[in-house]
Amino acid sequence: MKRIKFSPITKMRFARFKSIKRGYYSFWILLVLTLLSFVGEVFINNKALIVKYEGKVYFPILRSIPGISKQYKGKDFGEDYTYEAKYRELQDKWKASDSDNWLLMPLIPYSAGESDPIDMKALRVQEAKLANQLVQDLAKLSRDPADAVLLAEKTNELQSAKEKEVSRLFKEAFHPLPPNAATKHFLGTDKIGRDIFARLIFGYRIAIIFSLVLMLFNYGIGVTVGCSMGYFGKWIDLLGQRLIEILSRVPFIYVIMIASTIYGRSFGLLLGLMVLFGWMGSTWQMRTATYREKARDYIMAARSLGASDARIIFVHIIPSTISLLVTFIPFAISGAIISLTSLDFLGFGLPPGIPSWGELMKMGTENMDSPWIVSSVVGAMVLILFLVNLVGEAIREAFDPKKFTTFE
Amino acid sequence: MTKWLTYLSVLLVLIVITVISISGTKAGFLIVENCEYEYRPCSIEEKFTLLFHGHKEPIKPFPVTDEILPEGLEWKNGADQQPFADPSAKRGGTWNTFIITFPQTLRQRGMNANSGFRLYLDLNDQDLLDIHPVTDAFIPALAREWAIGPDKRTVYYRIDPDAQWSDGVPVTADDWICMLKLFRSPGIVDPYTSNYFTEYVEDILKFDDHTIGVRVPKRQPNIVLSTMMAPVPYHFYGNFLQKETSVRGTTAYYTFKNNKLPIPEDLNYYPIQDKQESLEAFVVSLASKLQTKLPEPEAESDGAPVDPVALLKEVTDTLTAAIQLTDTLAETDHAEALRQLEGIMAKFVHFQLQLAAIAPTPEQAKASHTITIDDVAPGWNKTFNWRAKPNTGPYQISKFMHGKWVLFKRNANWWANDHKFYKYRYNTDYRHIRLISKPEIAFEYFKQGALDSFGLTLAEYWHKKAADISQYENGYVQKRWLWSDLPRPSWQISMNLETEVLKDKNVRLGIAHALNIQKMIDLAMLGDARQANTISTGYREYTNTDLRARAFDIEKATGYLEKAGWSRMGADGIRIKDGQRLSIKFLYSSPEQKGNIMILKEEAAKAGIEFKPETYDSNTVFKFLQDKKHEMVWHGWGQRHHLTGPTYYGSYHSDNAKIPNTNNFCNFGDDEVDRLIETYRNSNDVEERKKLAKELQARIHEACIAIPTYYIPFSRSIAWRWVRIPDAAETPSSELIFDFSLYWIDEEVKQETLNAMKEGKTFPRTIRVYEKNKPAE
Repeated sequence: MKRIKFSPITKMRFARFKSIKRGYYSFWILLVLTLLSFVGEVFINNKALIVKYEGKVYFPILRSIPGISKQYKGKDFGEDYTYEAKYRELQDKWKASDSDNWLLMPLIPYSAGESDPIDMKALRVQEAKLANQLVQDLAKLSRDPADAVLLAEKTNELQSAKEKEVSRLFKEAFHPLPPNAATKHFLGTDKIGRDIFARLIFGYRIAIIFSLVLMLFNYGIGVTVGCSMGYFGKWIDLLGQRLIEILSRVPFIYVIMIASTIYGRSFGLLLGLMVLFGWMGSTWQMRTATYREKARDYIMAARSLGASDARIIFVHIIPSTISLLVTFIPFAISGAIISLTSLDFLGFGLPPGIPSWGELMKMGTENMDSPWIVSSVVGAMVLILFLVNLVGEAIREAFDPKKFTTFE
Repeated sequence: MTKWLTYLSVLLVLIVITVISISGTKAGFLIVENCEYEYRPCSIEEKFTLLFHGHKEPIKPFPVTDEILPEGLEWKNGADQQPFADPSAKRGGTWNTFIITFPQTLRQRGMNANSGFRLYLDLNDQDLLDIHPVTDAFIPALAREWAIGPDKRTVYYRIDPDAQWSDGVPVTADDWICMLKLFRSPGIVDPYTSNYFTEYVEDILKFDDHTIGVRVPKRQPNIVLSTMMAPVPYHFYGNFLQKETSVRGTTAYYTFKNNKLPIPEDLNYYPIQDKQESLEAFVVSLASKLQTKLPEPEAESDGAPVDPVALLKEVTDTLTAAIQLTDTLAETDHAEALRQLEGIMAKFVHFQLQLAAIAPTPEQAKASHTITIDDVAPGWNKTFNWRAKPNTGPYQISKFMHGKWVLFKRNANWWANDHKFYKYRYNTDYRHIRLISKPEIAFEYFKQGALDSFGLTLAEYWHKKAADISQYENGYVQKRWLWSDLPRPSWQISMNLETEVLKDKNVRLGIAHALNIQKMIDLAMLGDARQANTISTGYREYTNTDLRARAFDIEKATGYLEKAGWSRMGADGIRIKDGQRLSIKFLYSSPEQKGNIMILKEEAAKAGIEFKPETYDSNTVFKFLQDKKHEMVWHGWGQRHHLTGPTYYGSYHSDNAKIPNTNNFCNFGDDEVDRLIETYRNSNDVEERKKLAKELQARIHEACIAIPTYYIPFSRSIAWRWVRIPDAAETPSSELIFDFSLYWIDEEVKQETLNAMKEGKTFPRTIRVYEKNKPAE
């Protein structure tokens, strides 16, 4: 395998990037976060990591990788149901019964789509208890007709006190619930009892995959089309320019809205549409850069030595123009995250059920009385965009042609 | 210096642009229309010479019918009913409330007229009669007396001579005839209304200015309920009703299902066609009832020109004969009935031939025919978009600002001010309805006192957002929880039997047992809603209370699915059969259901079923359903009045299965169920209908095609202290505590509360639970 050789100038740029500490560390933080989110199921899952049941060791976590093998059923661990084992309940049961069986749950024992159930029966029992108490208290009151006014007042007071207690009970039981380390909902729950931390992490994973794929497509098309326009010029350039002009006049957000109402929401459709309307930016850049490079003496020299168009493009032009595009990558990623989030917020993004920041943000803004929802997602978004922008800034500085350049 | 000058000029330009844009938007909004009419009582003679909106032609009264008012009618007047309003109500004040979308028009019918706002207008249109909210008996409204005719298809009404429109013009028989003609007009572009008034109302007869008869096409139980309709002002619309309309290729409207004739593009809906089709369907069903076959048409027609209008009359007469026949079927002997029916069918075949004969040649289709149809003048919709009609109710739109608010003012000269059943109701002088597009924001308005009340039926408001707001803790606002036993919309999961997987009843049963509706209610609806056991909840004696929803039970679900052959589990825990995953598309439209569906999906996965939630906007979803392209859908059917009972024909009869543009979303067809539905539809016996309704619910439950989900048997609200609600407001018919407008605003209490808020004084925390009509679980 041929080792990739970096030119001295690229090496200098890397060194420069490394020396810009905030950008460099942000890059590592982002990288670690992204990698962690890719293996998020290990930290955030409702399947146990290890189960030791009657002397045997099981690894249910491996079963969350699709296609490996079937899930462990409740029956496998001595329960009387045939669907997937409820590991959290098992853990509590085994702990309480002091048996030799044990299991280890991930840090956050919930999956992103799972609703944490409410013990409605216990609630109803408590409610009934309070209602009974009220009946007893009311019976104790004096029934003297002379005290009718007082009686009415007292009755109202007691009823209102009971109602207050019930409403407190219910308010504290129902989702969304605030962050609580005891239940391991570190950022609280959303409206239907799903763990916000889990949804944030998996939402991040979707967002970053989406933006990376989007960037890849955009740049692939942008570099190809832009380079051809710049290098070959003439009618290719004219045609390309007109096409870009037409496409950039199409109101992108309306197209997405219309398409999602007609064809439904899906990852592929959204990606396709965003690529369709997103490749123009890098194309313009690439076209200009190619025009500029093409006119330089070394290209002329290569041509006079008999180099083919392909060789000139791939060996000379792209390597010397790509640095321009590299500086835009972080901003393209942050842009993609923002668009995805805002489309989800408006309800035209990813299909329902997929964890997404936009959906969380919508839920948060609709439930401002549960501030942990909106603050978690806004916090996460600010953090990620801040890191991405720090990286972007560092890359821009490192790749600044005024700093290191072979041309005078 | 130049630099500063540049900055200054840029700033100036910016200011100018801002001012222009702000004033521009202001100018766009500040269209305050004043719709108040000058109130001047006038005589009936004067009514027909009224000059309205610059139309100089006086309108002519409609002719009196040839029929004679039947002798010996048993007139009723509801005199035995007691008023239900609280006499301590105080008049005055303004009721502040909100809507979430501004109406596109102030018309109540026609293009784009259907909106949430229309309710405010409809409630101000009095009907011929009202229903007493406590006793369910009929009480007089615009009519003073009423009687059911001997044919049991006509109800006769004597209109209250005091009844007046809000502009002082008396209400007369012509207003109902005008209503019928207007609503049947194709030109109003409101197919639902036109269809309803063509299909369910046969005619309105005018005997004199204050006596009318409303006739429906066939006998039915609760005939009064379906005939007590509201009028529209003839003096207002009269000039826009055309007597004759020129229609291209008129004959084209006479179509047969299998012999489609070209329909003009501009009018592809026309009542006559429907009437013809319904007649055909009727005769066919009649034939099947008597187990005979329709004779095949054989003879060639002689080609003589046929007058479509005369033909239609003949068709209608035959229909009437056929209906009378069914009415007497039970009494007369079978052979006699058969003989009669044969005659009708022979006639019917004759029509078929004649109608086929008038199929237009291409030249004819292009040629113009003029026949007498009532239609509205072109542009009727546009003309009346923002021109509110006079009404018979207490409130009229007095002013409105586009996209901002609408102000209703109480008519000081309302004709029913001292009416037995309207006294002490409609107590506020104004109703101010502002546009607030989001409930969350409206709630903030309410907390500031800008709205008088706010609905808290949604569990998240009651249990979370409004649970302990300071206004409530300090007693400035009061909570109310009203239980009611009324028909509920049926939120149900309908399964399309045309889907390969769902054809198998065992799969459907498996799905029914895999739907954890209780968990959904507990989590997403905070335990507030109740699990529905039947598709017709709250219809009192029509509801089959023996039915129980299939419980969430993975073992049972597994059993049924294995019976259906779905016994192998895939790696992801979803069942597989012949390489196909048990994955079902789950269609829904309202975004509020999203949380519910996610919970059901998560739970169903335990049984190895995958739901794929799909959502579009409601129009697209409806289109899907009409085309029967769905697999499983969560949708709701609106409720009907508890006196009429639920309806099953549209949704479960095989007539409506497997063909597009019908409401049988399950594509369900079963001979026995069809028979029951037909008997149910045609029965006049209320007791029999109740029994049949229960039977039908049981059959549908048994077939497991539509799974009822939840219902909410109460409404809750929070209102400021000054909104006074009498105990009388808790009637068996009250869905909301504000129904029947029995509340009032107490200005003294308002002042007291506002002062207390300033001084920091508090009142006892108040919550009222009205449990008199709490339905049993």
